[in-house]
Amino acid sequence: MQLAIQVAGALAAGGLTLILVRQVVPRGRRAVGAVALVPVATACLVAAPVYRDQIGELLDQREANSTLTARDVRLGNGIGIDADVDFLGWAKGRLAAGETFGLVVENSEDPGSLEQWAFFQLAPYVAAEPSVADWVIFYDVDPEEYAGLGELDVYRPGFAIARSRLGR
Amino acid sequence: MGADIASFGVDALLALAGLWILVGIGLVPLRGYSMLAALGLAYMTGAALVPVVLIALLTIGIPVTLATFFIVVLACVVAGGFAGRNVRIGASQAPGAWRWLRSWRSWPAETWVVVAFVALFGAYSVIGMIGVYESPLVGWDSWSIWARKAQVLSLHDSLFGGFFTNQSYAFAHLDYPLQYPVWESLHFRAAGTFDIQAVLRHVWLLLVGSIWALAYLLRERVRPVVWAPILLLALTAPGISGQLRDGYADVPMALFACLGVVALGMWIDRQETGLLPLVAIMLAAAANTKNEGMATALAVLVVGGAIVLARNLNVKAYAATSGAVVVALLPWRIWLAAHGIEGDMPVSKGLDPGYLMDRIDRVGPTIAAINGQFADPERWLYLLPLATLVVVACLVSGVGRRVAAFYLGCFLLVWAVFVWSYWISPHDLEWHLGTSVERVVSIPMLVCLAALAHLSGLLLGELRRGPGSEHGAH
Repeated sequence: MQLAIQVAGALAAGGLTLILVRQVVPRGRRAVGAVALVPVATACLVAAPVYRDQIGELLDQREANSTLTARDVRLGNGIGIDADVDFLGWAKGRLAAGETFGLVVENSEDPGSLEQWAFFQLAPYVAAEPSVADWVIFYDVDPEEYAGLGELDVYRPGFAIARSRLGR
Repeated sequence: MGADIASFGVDALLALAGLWILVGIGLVPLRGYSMLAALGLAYMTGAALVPVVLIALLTIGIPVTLATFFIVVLACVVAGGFAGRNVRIGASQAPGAWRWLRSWRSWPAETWVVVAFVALFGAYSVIGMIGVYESPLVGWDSWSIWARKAQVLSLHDSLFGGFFTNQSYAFAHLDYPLQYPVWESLHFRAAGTFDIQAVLRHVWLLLVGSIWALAYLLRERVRPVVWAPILLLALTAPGISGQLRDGYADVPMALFACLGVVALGMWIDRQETGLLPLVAIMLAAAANTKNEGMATALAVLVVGGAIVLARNLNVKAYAATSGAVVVALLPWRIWLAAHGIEGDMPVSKGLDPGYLMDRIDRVGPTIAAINGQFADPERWLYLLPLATLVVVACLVSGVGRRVAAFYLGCFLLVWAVFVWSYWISPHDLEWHLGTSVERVVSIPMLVCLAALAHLSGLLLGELRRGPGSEHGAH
């Protein structure tokens, strides 16, 4: 409905312009050309305040950027979804070049988002199914329920890493 | 600092490659001020073409490194220089080309319009660059899909199977084309580091380059008094610049598509040399950025083809252009098929009447959501109602009628394809619309921008035409 009103308004403005221009320009195609004045005038009127607002927004963005720490930049997206970025960093420190990891997440409210972030933070290490990965990372889950693991390295209860027996 | 310079060096090389391609296809003469005026278009051409070539190389197993990038840039320069070798340097114009600057007191009003535009555009571009210079990527897909792929591409010289065929990363839409990640990865490689705080400064250049490119393309058909305010409107529209700062691929894709649509609209208008190759380059880039870009490119080519046939334009040249876009799409599509990677859209069911009827209840909310975005004056600043006005005026009066028909056809077909894509999507509709519709509308809105700038110019040109003249009907 809002779109229809806007379109009707633009057409009405064009029609009005045409009527006015026909007072000085002969009827026909030349006069219709005057409707171009509507977008030009609208653009001039609308662009000026938006230009000013956007400049303000860009300067605000610069201000906000100036307060960011290196940690905010590197881990901010994970912190934003309440991921335990310190645990993931700790786990990452245990992986060696070329090794793969599998992530087991159970209790998180949004395991999909957590997985996306964890894989991002753990890059360049490559994710794999936990059953075939070199390492299994347990995120808020009891590792005791999983068999076929090497020695468990616990960060805190529910958060741990273990070498898979299938792994290297 | 060195990393920053190196990554901006990539942009400079992309502009260099694009500039010589433009010379080669005859869109830019070999004159200093013309080449300077065309820098925005040159950057967009390089940013469009070079990644398309690199994607093709990746799919056939050729390692893509900085050396490969340099070779592709060099190939563009050599090919452009060779193709443009017969372009005459205006010997009599070249020495005095800048003389007009000294006579500024006698400049006509339109020159002052251009000067005002350059000042406002320049200030906005610089302040924008300052604003985003240290902005990290916070848009979800910007890091989870695009930067992630760019990181992989910057660490490996090939389409690393541990990622690109690994279903653990299915959430990153492994079927999406690689234009944007390849472009990002070139900057990461040059900088020697994966820094998500350094991406948006280059993304900002895509916006600046696109608006600059539109001004260059439109300059001979549209008077500055028309294109200057309309392009400033587009430059500042929060739907474009605000969204661009999220780091998603949608706006870059829409910018490529917009340049392709304008170039095709201008070719339909006047069939000038060089426009069709530019159409092919820009639509190929849009098609290689996202699947929506591919749908848009094909829709635009279908509409353009219908007008070419109806008006008996140069069918051979147009067919070659369309073929080039399809060929540019093939490497990635063949690679996907060869590796059994499929997207989540059930395209094959999309024409099954039973499937469509079972989901007919998705159509109404989809149309309402898309049209609701079009009507958002704070994001899109009345682009669609104004474009509607000029399209109707052209269709009714006959001024630039076939050009108006082209833009209208593009808008409607792209709109229909997007409605269809939500219709057949397997995802929960509310979630799908909620997470994507405000980005998806970028392409149709930039088609509106193209129509608005181009057709307003044709209309105003008609108004200024002398009495009795009836040229310009198409």
